[in-house]
Amino acid sequence: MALVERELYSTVTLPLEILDAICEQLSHSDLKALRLTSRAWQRSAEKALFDVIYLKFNGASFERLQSISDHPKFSKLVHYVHYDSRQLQHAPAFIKRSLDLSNDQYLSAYTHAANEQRLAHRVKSRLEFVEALIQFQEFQSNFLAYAAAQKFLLRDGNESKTLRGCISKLSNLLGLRHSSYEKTEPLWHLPGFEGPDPVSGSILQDLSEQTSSKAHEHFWNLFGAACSSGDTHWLRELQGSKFQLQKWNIAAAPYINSFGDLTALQELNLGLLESHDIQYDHTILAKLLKNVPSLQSLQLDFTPGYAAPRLTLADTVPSNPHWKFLGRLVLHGFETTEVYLRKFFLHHANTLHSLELGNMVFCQPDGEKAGSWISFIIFLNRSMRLKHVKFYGKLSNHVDESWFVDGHDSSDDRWYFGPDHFDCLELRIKRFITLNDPCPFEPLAEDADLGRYFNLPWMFSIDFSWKFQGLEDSNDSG
Amino acid sequence: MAASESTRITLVSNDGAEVHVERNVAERSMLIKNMMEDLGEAAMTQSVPIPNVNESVLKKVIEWCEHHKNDPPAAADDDSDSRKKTTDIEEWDQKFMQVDQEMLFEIILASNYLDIKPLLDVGCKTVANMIKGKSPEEIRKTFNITNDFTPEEEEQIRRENEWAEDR
Repeated sequence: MALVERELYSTVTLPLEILDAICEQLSHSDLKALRLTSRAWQRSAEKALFDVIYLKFNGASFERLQSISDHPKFSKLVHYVHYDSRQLQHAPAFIKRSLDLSNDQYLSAYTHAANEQRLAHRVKSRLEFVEALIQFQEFQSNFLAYAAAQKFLLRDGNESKTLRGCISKLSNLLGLRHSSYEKTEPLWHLPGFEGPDPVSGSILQDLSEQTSSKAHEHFWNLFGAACSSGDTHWLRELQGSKFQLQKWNIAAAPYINSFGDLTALQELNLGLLESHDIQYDHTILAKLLKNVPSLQSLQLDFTPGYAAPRLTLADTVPSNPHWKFLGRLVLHGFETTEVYLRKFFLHHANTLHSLELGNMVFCQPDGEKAGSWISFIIFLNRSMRLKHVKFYGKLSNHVDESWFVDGHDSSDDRWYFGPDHFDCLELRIKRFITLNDPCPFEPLAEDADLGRYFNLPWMFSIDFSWKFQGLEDSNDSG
Repeated sequence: MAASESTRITLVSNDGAEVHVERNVAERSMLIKNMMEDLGEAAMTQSVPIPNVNESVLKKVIEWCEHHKNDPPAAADDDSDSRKKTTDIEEWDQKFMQVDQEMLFEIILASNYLDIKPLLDVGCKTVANMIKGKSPEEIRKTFNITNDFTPEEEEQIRRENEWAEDR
């Protein structure tokens, strides 16, 4: 009886949609274990496991993608390809130096490398040293094979060709995500190599944190591979970040004509940066944004270099937006007039429910009044129906307002700020906009002391969450 | 008190037990909320049958609804990074879910049937947390799962698992 009861209430009696929901909460390594437990779990675990494919810029990873795309069942489960295109920029010098050395010379070079890394003290005995050396020689062989495979992918359009061949077989693909910066697995995780000794571990750790200077090319190669499968009417999501704007623009050239096929794109998330103070070319980004009528979520993150200007919103986002379904907007690192931003928001007042603004500047056109973040906050309360709002970083107008907003996540509130944080200015502003709580800014009487409120005609109390900063540094990048 | 009494409704479990509950508490269940709207005034005088849930599970579910009756509506899915996986469960819910597996699965099934998404989420996260970090054998042992794969099939699954890289 006890056995029957246990069987009756085992997980296998849960309906498929619940097994699916449980699997959605699990990491790839847990899903792999779960998939091995029984047939009852196999289907749901597979569905979650192959939903997102994490592709890396190395030969083994591309071979795995080929295996999945050739598989009749798994190829249909893939909805997203997440491409981490970091590549080795340079082999560690001592690996190159050691190629033609005898064992003794090798040992000596290795000792030298250890000293260079100031890690010799961690290699305690000669036996340990020799073991590390043997392991390192094995690693060296793997490392060279790894680098050779990357070189192969970089030659003759091999990366594009392979991506095209694979993506055309992923019949239910919905989205492309590219990253080149996030730290993922360390590079020493190579076939046949158990782990690094302290020296090579340290060096490779540094390597693993390198960003790819060719990220823009890999992003567009991935996009191009999707386009080559006929059209991109199926594409719902496109993401990529840490691209240098100018290089990203140049690499986009072959694919501009495909922008017209992005009619189904619902989520666009782009992170761009520019380290030089140059005349920004907005053309590609503006053209891309003009061709995505189904957009529901837009995140544009621009990071200018020190003292470099922000991107101009009016040059980037169409003046007469056509996004009938835009529900979520995140803008970071733009300058705009308050008038333009209000106009843009009013166009989307019926749909926009989630807004995040960070490091934004209201610029002041000649002869016009400077924008005000306080009046903009009041506008958001009166004219929009936002359910979620977040401000962070510097919000300035270059004239008389320069705020710095903490922008902490509400989940950390209690831990970070203690029990009184619920009354901080940032949260009162958020509640004013989303819940119509009382306005935290009251107009000052004409005879009031403006000096108390930073010469602004508003009465308010600032705190740790929403600070008033001086304007002397308002030209920097924030 | 009189006002409170007037908003109480009666649910009837599949084993015939009557469970009296505040209407706003019961309406954490979208199924009951929709039934109330369909029944109109009659909902206050008629008992509402819950044919898929027994008394002990129904009472447990009502206990959760009572504790969460003043929760704000769930934020829109895309307000922040919706792909962020989190199996964090608030302390009260963790204690609430400290039940035997039979009850845990019954709560999950009941919240699915009654359409109480936040409770279903807590249930699924609880099971997910019981899976996390375990080997296949440990998972089987935890949930009393019989391995129905042949060694060859297991080997094939292991090979295929290698294709799906971790992030």
